[in-house]
Amino acid sequence: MNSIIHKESPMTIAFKQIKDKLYHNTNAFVYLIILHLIGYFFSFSTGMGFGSSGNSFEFIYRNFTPTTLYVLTILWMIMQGFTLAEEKSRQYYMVSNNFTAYFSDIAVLEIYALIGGTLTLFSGFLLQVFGTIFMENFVLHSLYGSMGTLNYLTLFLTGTLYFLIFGTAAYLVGILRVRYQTRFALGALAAAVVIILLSILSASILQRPIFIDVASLFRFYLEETRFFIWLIKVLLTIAALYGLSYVSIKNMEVNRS
Amino acid sequence: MISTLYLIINLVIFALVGIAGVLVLRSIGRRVSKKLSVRLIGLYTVVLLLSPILAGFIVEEVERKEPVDVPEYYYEQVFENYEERNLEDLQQDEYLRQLTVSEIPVDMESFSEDSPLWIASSDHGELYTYHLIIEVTDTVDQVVITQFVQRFFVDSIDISKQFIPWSWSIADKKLQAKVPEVKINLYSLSPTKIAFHFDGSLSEILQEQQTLGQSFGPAPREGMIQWIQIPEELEFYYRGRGPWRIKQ
Repeated sequence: MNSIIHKESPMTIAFKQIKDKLYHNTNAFVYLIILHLIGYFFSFSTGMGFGSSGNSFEFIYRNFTPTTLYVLTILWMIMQGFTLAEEKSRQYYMVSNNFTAYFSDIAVLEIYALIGGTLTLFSGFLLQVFGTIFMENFVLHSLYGSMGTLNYLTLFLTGTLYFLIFGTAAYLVGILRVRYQTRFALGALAAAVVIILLSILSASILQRPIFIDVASLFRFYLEETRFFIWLIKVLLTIAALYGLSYVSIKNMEVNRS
Repeated sequence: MISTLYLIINLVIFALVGIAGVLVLRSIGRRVSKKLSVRLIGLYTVVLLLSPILAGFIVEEVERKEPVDVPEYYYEQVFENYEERNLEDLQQDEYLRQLTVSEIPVDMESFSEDSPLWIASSDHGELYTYHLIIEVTDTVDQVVITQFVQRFFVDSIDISKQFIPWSWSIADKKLQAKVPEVKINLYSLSPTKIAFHFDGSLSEILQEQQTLGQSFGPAPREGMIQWIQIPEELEFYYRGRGPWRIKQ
């Protein structure tokens, strides 16, 4: 259905909204840069060290990885997911319906994920440069020797898709929160209480604690070494999150508050 | 019960820190104008895109050699079989690294049976005779000390390169070593695990090294071998603590 006022198709409007949202959220990149700076700091200071010391001998070995930067980029994606979901209530640009709003949000998240993936891909090199400049005995781990183009591609692809998963998940939660407001808060509280009660009860009655194991959830993706199966898993997850967020946004009133 | 309480407290702390962080970030972000933020992104992107080139110039070539699997306490085996080993043998030993060869000129005439060259057994009370093998030979005409260290790998980086050799000297008719204070700080950057996402074996190696760390085996300082060659005609004398290895 074309907009009567603007005589433009929903896709054109969606694309204009993408541009508008990217411009409106330019500051998002400042957050990313700040987070990355924090990441560089922490990846140097929290490197795992172990040492041995004798009378006149001291050996300290520290190993660090760009993993902190990945974690912080994930945090950034979550932030952006929430921000985009929150801004549902103030969409003023052009004629907005739920489809254009949803489509442009998703597209912006994808762009963010791509940017995050690219920046974190290069951050490893920047860490090398920093390490050489600021540290006396700085070496690259031998595994860098076995890094090929394929590994860098893996780094980029997995990074981008994982960021997208986190961003979309945060977007879904944000949409649910914006849509159901108090009911969402109550529901979340109830869920937390139920989970905690369940774990307490299972520990005291069954003598076998049942916890929601987040680690196993991560392992489901991280320990998958077959590429295509991993791709299917990840794409299905993203599709499911997209679907759920579309379903929750579908009948939402745009200008609610 | 207590663990659940801990869990809740931890979750609350995480949530508070997260919320505070986001609030701080937003308050910073709002003050930055769009123009400035575009410039910042541009700058950061340029720096990042240049970094591979910079890294290519600055960072030393990665050692692609496979680490040698040095037996633990290998130096002890050397000391046990010192009678059968000789200097060339040690120099070609792939488990040992030669640090330096120091030649200390001696004035033969100033030493006699009555006033021999003393070989000191310790430095500042620290006994070091454990590391000495003395070879009496006619191939040298001054005291030649060849220092070895057992090769020592951490994450397939050869640490033995970093060792500082002892400084030997003759003072007051006494051959003595000054054992330097060694302080090695080694930093290594390893790639993120997900670079080896589809490469199970490598990813496991990385996991192992990052979670368990690596045990040191013998404290590397113990792995020092000081091979002292003394000319036949030089009279020397040793009195002190520790084992005494003379190869005639």
